[in-house]
Amino acid sequence: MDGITPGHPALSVQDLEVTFPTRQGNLRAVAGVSYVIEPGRTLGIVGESGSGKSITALAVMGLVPAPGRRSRGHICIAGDELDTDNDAAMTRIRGARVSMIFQEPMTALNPVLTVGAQISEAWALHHPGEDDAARDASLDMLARVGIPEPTRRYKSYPHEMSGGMRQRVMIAVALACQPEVLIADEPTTALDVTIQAQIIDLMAEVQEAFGMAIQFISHNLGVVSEIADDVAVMYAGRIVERAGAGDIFSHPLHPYTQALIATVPRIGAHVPRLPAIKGTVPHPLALPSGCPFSDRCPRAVPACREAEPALTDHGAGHLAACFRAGERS
Amino acid sequence: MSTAPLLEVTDLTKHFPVGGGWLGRGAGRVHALNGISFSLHAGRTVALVGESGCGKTTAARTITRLYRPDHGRVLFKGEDLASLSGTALKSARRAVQMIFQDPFGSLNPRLPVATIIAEPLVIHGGVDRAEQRRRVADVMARVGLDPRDGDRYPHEFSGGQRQRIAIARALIIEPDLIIADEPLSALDVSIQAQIMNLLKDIRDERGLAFLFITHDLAVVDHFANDVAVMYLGHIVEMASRESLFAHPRHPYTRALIDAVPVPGAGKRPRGRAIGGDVPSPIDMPPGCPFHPRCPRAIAACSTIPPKLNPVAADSGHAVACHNPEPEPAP
Repeated sequence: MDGITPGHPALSVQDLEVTFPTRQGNLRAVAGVSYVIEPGRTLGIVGESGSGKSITALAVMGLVPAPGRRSRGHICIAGDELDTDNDAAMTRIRGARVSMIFQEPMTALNPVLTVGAQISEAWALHHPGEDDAARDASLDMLARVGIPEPTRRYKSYPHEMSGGMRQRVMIAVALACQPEVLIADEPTTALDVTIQAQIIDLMAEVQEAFGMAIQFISHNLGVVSEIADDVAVMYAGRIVERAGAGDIFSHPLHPYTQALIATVPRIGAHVPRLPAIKGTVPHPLALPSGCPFSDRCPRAVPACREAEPALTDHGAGHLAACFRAGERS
Repeated sequence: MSTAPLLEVTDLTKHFPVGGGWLGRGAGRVHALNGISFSLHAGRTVALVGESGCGKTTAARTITRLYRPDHGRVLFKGEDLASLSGTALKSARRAVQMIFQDPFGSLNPRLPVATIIAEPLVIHGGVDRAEQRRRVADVMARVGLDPRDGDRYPHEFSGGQRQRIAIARALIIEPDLIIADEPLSALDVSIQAQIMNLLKDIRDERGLAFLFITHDLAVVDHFANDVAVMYLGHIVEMASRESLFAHPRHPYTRALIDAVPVPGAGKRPRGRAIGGDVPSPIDMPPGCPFHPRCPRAIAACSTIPPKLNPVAADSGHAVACHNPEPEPAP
C-alpha cells in the first residue's frame, strides 16, 4: 500500500473538539478526544447514544453536519494533516485514504445504481483515465468480500440483496481504493447474529489482506471484544478509558467501564438481577460539574464534582479519566 | 404441569399473499408462520427467539388476533380466540397486553402520558375518573416514573422512560399475560438492564405470564423459563431454558448460541460463523428449512420436513432435526 510513512500511525487524532451552536449555547459533542491507530490494528470505540462516538468519526471524514464544526484539534493520516474544512481536498482523501461504512447499507448505497457501478465509481474517482480497469477491479473486490457469482451480482441493485450482502457491498465500495484507514460505524448492528459473525470474520480477513487501520464503533461490548486490538470507552464526548482489549475487559479501571461490562446479560451467568447503571446519559448542555459521570457513579466522592479528571496513564498504556481509577468496587 | 395452560397455541399458521399477477392473485405467498404449537402456563415465561423473518412477531400478532390465522387454534383460558368477535374478543384482549420494541412509535405523540396510560381503562370501562387518576399515579410510581409528570408528552421523555410508560399502560388493567416484542432492543445498554429488572420484578410480584419475543439469547437466558427457537416460521427446538443452553440439539440453535459475542472473550476464531443467508419465506426450501446452511445436513434433510419430536421421554426437550447434535454423555 502506498502512502504509509514509516513511524507514523495510520490515523492520529489529537485534542479533537466538535461544537454545535444552539440557542442554549455551544454544545460540545466531542470535548477533547485523542487517539492513534497503527496500520493493521483495530481500535474499538464503545459508547451509548450521545457519547460522541459517531461525531468523532464524521469529524475525521470532514463530514460533521452543519452547523456543527471541528472547533479544535488535529487529524493526521500517516502523518499528513487533514484540512477537514477544505471540501476539495477532502474529496481527494475520502475513499482514497480514509473510508467509512455505516449501520444501514440500504441508506448508504445508491438505490438506483447497480452495486457494480457503485464500486467502479469509487474506484474510478481516484484512478482518473483508467475507466477500463474499473470493472475488473470491482469484480475482484466483489469476490474478495465474499459475494457469490460476482459477475452476475455486479449487475444487481441494492434492494435485490439481503442485509448481509449489502454490508459486504458497502465494504467493497469502501475498500475499492485500498484506503489506509477504514471507519466502521455500527456496521453489524442492523444484522442478525449469524450474519454479524460473518461480517466480523470478513472485516478481519480484509484487514489481513490490505493492512488498513480500522476504527470500529459500536454500542455492543461483545462485538468490540471480538474484533478490536485496543478499546476506547466514550462518555459525554470524552474518552474516559483506553487500553488493550484484553486489559480493558479483564481489568477495567473506570467505574463507567466496569458498570457497562457488568450490566450486559451473558449466557450461563445466572444472576437474579442485572447490576443496572442508575439514571440516564446526561444532556451535553446539562453535564454535572466535575466528572461528567459523577451523578451516576456509585463511587463518586466530593472531589469528583469539583474538577474533571484528566485521562492519565495507570501503567502499561492503560489510560483512565477517574480520580478513583482502579479501586475495585 | 397438571393445570390447564393459560395460553395454548396449536398448529398456528399465517401466510401473506404477495403482489403481482392478475389483481395480485396467484403470485406467491409469504410463509410467515408454518404451524407452530406451544403452551404457556400462568406465571411462566416462554421466549420465542430467532432472527429477522423467523415469524416471531407474526406469531405475537396472530395470537392477539391483530392478524386472523389461516389455520390453527389459540386457546386462552380455554376459549378459542380465533372464533371470538365483538365483545367477547374485546374482553379476552383485556387480559392480554402488548409491549413493543419502539417506544417512540408505540405512544401517541399528541396525548399526555397520563391519558396514554389510562387508555386501556377507558376502553375496557367500569372505572370513574377519580379512580382512573389514582390507578395511573400508582402504576406510574410502580414503573419508576414520577406521577407528577402525567401531563407531559412522550417527546419529553428518554427512550428508557418511554418504555416505562408503555409498561405502565400494559399493567394498568392487570392483565394475566404480557406479550413483549423486543422490548429492550431500541434501548441503550445501560438502560436495558434497568428495564429488564423492572419487567422481572413486576412479573414475580404479580405472577404474570410472559410471551417474550427477542433475538437476544443472553436476554432469554436471563428472563425465560422455556424457550422456543424459530427459523423460517417453524419452531425448530423447544426446551426449558436450562436444557436448551446446556445441551442445544438443533444445529441452528448451536450456531445461534455460538454467534453471540461475549465481552472479554477475545477475538473471534475465524471461520466459525455459519455461512449463507436466511432463505426467502416466499421460496421455502424443501425438507428442513435450515438445510441449505446446516453443517450437519444429511440426504433426508433436503426432502423430508423434520417433525418436532421429544429428544428424551421425560425432559420436555423437543427438536425438529434428522441429525441433531449428539446427546450429552450421562
